[in-house]
Order: sequence, then structure tokens, then C-alpha cells
Amino acid sequence: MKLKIAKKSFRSFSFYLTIFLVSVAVLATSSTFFSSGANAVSIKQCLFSSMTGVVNLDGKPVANIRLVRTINYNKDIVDETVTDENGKFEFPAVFRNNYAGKILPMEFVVNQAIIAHHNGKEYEMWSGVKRKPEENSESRGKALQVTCELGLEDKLHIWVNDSPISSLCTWDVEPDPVLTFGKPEEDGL
Amino acid sequence: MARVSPQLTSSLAKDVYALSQSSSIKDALSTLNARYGKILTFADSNLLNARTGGPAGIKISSAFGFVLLGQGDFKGHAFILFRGTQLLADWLTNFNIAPARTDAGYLVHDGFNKAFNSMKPKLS
Repeated sequence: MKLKIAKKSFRSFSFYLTIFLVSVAVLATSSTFFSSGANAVSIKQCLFSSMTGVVNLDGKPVANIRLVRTINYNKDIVDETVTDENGKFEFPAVFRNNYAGKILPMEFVVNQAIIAHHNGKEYEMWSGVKRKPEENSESRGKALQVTCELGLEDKLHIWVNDSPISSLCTWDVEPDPVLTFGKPEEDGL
Repeated sequence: MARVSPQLTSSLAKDVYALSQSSSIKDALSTLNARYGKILTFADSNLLNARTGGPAGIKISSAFGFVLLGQGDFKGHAFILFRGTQLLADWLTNFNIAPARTDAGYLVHDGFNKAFNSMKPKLS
């Protein structure tokens, strides 16, 4: 009896093993498997689009504010800049080549954060989750030019291109509309 | 039984990735409201962490989902959300394709079963 069970589970195991080997073979031989249609996996991915802007405090631009940007995509990428005498700053775009995703597809989920340091205080100026690999997805294809106000009491929360952004900044973009769904329906079950 | 629309469930299945990244519960709730209005709120339990990955040593623990409760028209509904493949380590879970038995005795994918069991204590 025991032997029978062992045999059965071995058989189902080899069944799964076969499926696994076949799928690996399919993936390995067809590199275009995941690169067409809605599930296209692009190799070059933009983790944070280039950003220019002005940092204000109580309506006035502030010089020498240290801005630290952290991008997280499996690992942290950190860089920083300082506002000039007109409160202006610039961050270059950050890209990544995702070769692994070509064979092992994954959701594109990139954490974006910019912390402003001023007079010993820290301000969470920008925190977002980028869900689209295209450059300038944060501003629907336009250049990302922000105006930030560190004096805001509450962060502004919007979604753009299925990506949430909580920030102290405004920029020229039409946010995703609030989704509405019909009431739950009785199905008689 | 009152059923919610497939559009709502598929939208939540997509947004679980972004929502599980929020740095604070306050931000997460504001972000949720900016997307869904006031029909949903987070359950008291915090984010569900799960261990994904291969054999011991290369397992990682990360936010794997959370529970939402319906409000207003959606009162009485609970939504248990799980994310899918987001990290390379998740592929070790995916490749764990041996069959396993659930507590109820059904045959399921061992990788998901292990990840599910690691967060089950928080669900009950």
C-alpha cells in the first residue's frame, strides 16, 4: 500500500517536472515570447524620469536645500543635489537594463523618494511607486517640471498612469480619475 | 450572496503592488482614497509579510499583501489581496512546482502554499 502511494506521488512529480522542463525550453528558445502585445517586457526601463523644479518654503524659493533621491528596485540607488540661489534643482533620469525580466517576467514596481533637508528638518518631498517603465510616465510624456512647497501641511496624493505619487509638489499633469464601480449585485446564491 | 464587479477585483489585483509599497499607513490610506474614493479602508491588521524564495538562506521576507474592508455600498465585503511576481527571488517560489497538500487536502502549487502558510497566522 505504501509503495503504491510513493509510486503515485513520484508519477505526479515527474509530470510537473516535465511541464517545468518544457516551459524552460520554450522560454529559452523564444526570446520574443514575452516581448509582444500587452505584456511586452522592455529591457531598458526608466526608474525615475529626469526632473527639474523649484523648492519653495512659504511661497519663497530657498537656496542650498539638500535633496536626497532614493530609488528602490530590488536594491537602492541613491544620489543627491542642492538647490541653487533661485531654489532650482535638477535630477537626471535613471535607467536600468532589465535582462532577467526578458526570461523571467516580473511586475514593474519602482519606489521613488526625494527627501529635502533644510535647517535640520527633513521633508518627504516626493514618494511614488512607478508602475510604467516609460520615461516621463509621471507626467504623461511631458518633461517633468515640478514646483514644490515644503510648507504644505499634508502631502498631495494622486495617481498618474496607475502609479501613486504622494508629494509636496505640483506639475502639469492630469491625474487618473477616481475609479468608480457598481454596487455589489445579489446573484441569488 | 452579493458579488462585487470583476472590474473592481482586477483593479485591486493590479494596485496591490503599488499599495503595498507605501511608507506609512496614513499615506497608504490617502493613496487608496485617491484611487477608489471612500469605498475601501485597510483592515486593522498590518501588511501581510510572506517568505518567498528557494531553500533556506535565500528566502526573503517582503510585503505580500493586505486586507481591505468595504465601506458604504461595499460594507460587509473583505478583500484579501496578494501580490504576484515582483522580485527575482519570487521566481524561486514560482519554480518550486512540486505539488503540495493544503490543510484541506487539495493538491496545490508548493511554492504558493509555502508563501501562503508563512502569512496565514496573520489572516486568522
